[in-house]
Amino acid sequence: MRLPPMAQYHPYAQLGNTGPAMVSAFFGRFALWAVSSLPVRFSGRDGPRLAQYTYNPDFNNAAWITRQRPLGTWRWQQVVLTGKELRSVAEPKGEVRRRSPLFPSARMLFNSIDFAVFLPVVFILYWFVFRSLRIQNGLLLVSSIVFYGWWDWRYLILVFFSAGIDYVMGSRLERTDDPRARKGLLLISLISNLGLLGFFKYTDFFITSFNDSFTFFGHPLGLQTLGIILPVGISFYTFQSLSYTIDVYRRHLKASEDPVEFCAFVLFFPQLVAGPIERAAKLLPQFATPRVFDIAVARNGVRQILWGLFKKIVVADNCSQIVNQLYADPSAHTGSTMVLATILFAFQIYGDFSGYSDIAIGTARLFGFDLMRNFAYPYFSRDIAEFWRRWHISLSTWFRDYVYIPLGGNRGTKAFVVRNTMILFLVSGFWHGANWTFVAWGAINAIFFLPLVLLNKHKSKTGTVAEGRLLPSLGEAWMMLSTFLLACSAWVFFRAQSIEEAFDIFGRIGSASLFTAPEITSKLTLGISVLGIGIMLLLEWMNRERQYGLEMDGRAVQPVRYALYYALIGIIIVCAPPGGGEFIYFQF
Amino acid sequence: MTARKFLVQCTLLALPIAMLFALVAWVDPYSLYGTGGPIPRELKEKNLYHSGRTMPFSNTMWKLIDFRRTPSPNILLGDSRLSRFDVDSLQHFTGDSYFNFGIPGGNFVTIDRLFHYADSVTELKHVVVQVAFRGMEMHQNFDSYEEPRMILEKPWSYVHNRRVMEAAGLNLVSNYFPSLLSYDVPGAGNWEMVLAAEKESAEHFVIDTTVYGRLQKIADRCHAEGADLIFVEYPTHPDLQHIMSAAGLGSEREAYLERLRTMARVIDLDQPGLFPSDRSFWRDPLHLTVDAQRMLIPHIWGSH
Repeated sequence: MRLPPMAQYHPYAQLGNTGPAMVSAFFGRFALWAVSSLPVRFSGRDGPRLAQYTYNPDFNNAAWITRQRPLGTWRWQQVVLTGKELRSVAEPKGEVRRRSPLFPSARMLFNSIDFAVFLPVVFILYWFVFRSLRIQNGLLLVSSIVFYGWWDWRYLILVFFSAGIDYVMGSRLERTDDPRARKGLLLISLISNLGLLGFFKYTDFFITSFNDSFTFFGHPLGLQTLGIILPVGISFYTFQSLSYTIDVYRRHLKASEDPVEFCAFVLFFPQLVAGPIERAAKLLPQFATPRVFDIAVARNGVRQILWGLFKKIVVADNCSQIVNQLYADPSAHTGSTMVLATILFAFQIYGDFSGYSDIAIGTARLFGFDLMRNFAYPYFSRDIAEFWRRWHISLSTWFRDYVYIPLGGNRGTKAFVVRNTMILFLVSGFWHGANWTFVAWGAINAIFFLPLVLLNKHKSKTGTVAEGRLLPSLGEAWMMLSTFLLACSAWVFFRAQSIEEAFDIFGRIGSASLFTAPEITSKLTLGISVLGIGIMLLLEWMNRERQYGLEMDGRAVQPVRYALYYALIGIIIVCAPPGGGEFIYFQF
Repeated sequence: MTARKFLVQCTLLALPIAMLFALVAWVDPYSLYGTGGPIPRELKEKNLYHSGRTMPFSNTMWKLIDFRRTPSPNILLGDSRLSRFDVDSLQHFTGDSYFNFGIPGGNFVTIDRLFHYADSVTELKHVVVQVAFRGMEMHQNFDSYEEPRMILEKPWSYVHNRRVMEAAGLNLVSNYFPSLLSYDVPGAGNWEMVLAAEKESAEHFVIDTTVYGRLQKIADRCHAEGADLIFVEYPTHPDLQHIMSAAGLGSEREAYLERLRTMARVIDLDQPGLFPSDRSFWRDPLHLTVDAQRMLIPHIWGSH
């Protein structure tokens, strides 16, 4: 459908080179078709940005821009443009295309109604209709395709590309003993996966950085960014798939002989888009073994899903309302306000990501799978090394096993250890996103971590805090508080839009305005956030020796358990902010 | 067998919640699904004004849905002062039917977003925007439109939205147990309370200049589409007019009107002596009664 050219009525009206057009120049018509409804690039009044269109059948055939993000940043901002307004700007040059109505933009988020319908359907088919192992694996694969394709089916090509390469490389690695050939096969897998990740995640970042560097030295290059959107979950599934070829290469694992089984492992929907990043050696054999339904495990799974939803909806989504507002313009707020915003962000990202992990692990349990634990109450850590053993465990251990230890780990001279630690944290930061803020976040954590490694105290706090006691000692409380504050200071870089902005925030925090009352406009949202954080910390503290905050053994009688479930469900319903939020780690 | 047992247990756990959602869908307090239900439309409309806390959301939700169902090329945009405007009398006077987008708690943000919403649904011919100089104050820029929009974008979320649930409960109680319910009625000291709040606001008045950008976009859009646009500065009681002039805001108000005149026709009805100061015409210093608002019709549409 052609739209009237009335571009001058819109703030983002000056249409620049679009992503589709640029990609087309590189890869021809097929690529243009593939990305024709992906986000496009505008050169607007406030600088270049990406905008994504979605079709909304409810609004009289109106097309909406639902999200935008300034180029060079990773955060999407919600924007709302009405259909005719959008139509007035959309196709003056015939370059912008609207999303096809056949493929509405709807991610099947764990906290969506779509998933609430999808999950029981798959569960019933899995346990009641398809009982043979191969067919169950096939069902999981099809379900995962539907789950991922619900967002955008074209990106499935990338997932299958990654899985296909690694399946073939794994099979060949199994069959050959020639060291050179084996290295070559591993290299193909590494280049394919990291190349895929690098192209989709870092191309625009490097172009922008090149431009900035040359402009700094007075030779502006004017290179156009491609306006590429990051496919959901690419950082997770490429790493998971990569772990397979590395383990087969190391002879830690036998290559899979069943492509359906292998694809089901790579695409396994509970952890496909945001982890936990599973090791092939742990998860793949579970696909090869017949699963037996265990009601205790399944109940545990449902409880963990409920706990994850609580953390996501009550804690993370409410905190995000305040954090997004305050971090949108830190220069307008006092130091005390930004301290509060940063503390809330610490709980937002924890509630968001650990909530997602809980739902993923709980969902996998419903199908008889055991995924690795991803968070172990990191904010109860007594030093930063313990924090990193408890935060995003699947990624930390991935980097430890496949990067840090191959580099030599903490064996060798102190300079060698410093180098390896810095590499580990910088790579980990860069993995999170194509922005210098993430690199800075990694570097700061390395600086916090290094003294402990150099003094060989990085494994001094391995047990549960205040084990066997209700409350921590004063010393333990102080250590937990100081670790939390160190983590928060690093979160400033993680959340800020740029390094300059992060320093500006620290400047504010260091000013006299730190001693004024924080300015929060939505006191109700703040109250709900604090209530949610309080409940979360209380239950997790009480359960800190178990896997997650709501895990129960036979001690609680049924009425008490049900009362607790309904109380949590009631709080989730009453405290859910409008709209619900996407998971932060979908962006990585 | 154990899988079956587990499924039954999960179903039993989810049943009360599913029933609650089904009840909300059945009551359908804002007639989103339009499937009838037990609550008469008149009662639903009455309940939109149950309390000051719920009015902004309820009215926005109702009017967004109602407009989508029965779009009109002629719209009124404004705040609570316009929300009960008698559009039947207006139709009688002008011959045109108007859709009233007056939202309690509305402001320039709401006006802006509702205009673009209406513009996305249908082609507009006549747009009358009830503006207010007092609404130019910096802290009046909150957004009551976003939540209803999100619900309409995801109709499933309607049944589990806490405000919709509250409205469903209110509708049920008002239908089956009306004696248990009381509606917000302005108390004896309401007049003074409004004046005190307005005085406080006037003394710390900082103009939000981004409003001009919003209004300019509306004006440009109307101009491009050939729609007629009028800005109407609604009357306030002389007690309030005194407060604004005593705060030294007269010149700023003039500059504001002047700026508006560059965008569209402006009708300034907030002038001393133009409307009676008799309190029987007013609900409070800001709000004319519905009857009194009919007097405005010839002032605004007299030249039609």
